[in-house]
Amino acid sequence: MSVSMEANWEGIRRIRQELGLLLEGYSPELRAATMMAATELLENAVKYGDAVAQSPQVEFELSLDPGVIQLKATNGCTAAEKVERLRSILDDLVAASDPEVLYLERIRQRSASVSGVPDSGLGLYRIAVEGGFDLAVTYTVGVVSVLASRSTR
Amino acid sequence: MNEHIYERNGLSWVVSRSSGQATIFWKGVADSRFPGPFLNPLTDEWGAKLSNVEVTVDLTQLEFMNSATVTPLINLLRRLDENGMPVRVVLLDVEWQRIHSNCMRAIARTLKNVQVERRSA
Repeated sequence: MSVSMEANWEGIRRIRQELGLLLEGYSPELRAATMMAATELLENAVKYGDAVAQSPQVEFELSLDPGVIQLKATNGCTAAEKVERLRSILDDLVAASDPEVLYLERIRQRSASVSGVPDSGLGLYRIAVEGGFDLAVTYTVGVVSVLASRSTR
Repeated sequence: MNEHIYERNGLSWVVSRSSGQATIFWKGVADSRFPGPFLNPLTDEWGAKLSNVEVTVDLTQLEFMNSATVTPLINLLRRLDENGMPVRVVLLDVEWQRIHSNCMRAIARTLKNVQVERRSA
């Protein structure tokens, strides 16, 4: 499955529904985790992406190989600090001895804050901890891609 | 028993009241980019109105929730927790709601009066 979409929120629900249909033969847990992860990746791409010549739209890819499912969201990005923030979150997840503890801490921060912690990256923590996906980021000439992969078992 | 229904963009928020108890049902899909303007005023209104009753937050009919909705949901649970009355969060005991369940348990650990239950399908 490969989709190119304008950076608008309405398209995300449609892609999630299509994914749900596509994954009907898989376990309910994998299906729900994949739908959640795809939604969070696409929401980040729409929220933080910029239309650039190399990547005027948000691109989304799903690949299903034997035993492995991969999701990739690609968008333009003109602000280096956004990429650094993304890398920082992924580095924190990799370095954490227990990523769930890190996730709980982010939720606690939201719970303790009057208005929530903006741009807390909660969606990425959720993909990794709730969804069980490994995350990776690549950045080349104004285009950022986030790859989420996990076992289908 | 009386019932109040609020709806926006696929999400229904239903408050059902009877003497000494109330249930807030979340139904449908919570995937708004900016859920706060819909949900936070409801939290303010019903957090005050339900100050002396046991409240159940029923998520068994919630089909999907994005991370943007986590903050308004935390706000609701925190507001209800402040009332000092027991608050139950109920989810279905089926695999596809495990993701919501883990998230709710994580939130509940930060609050004094909130318990999470998984109900048989």
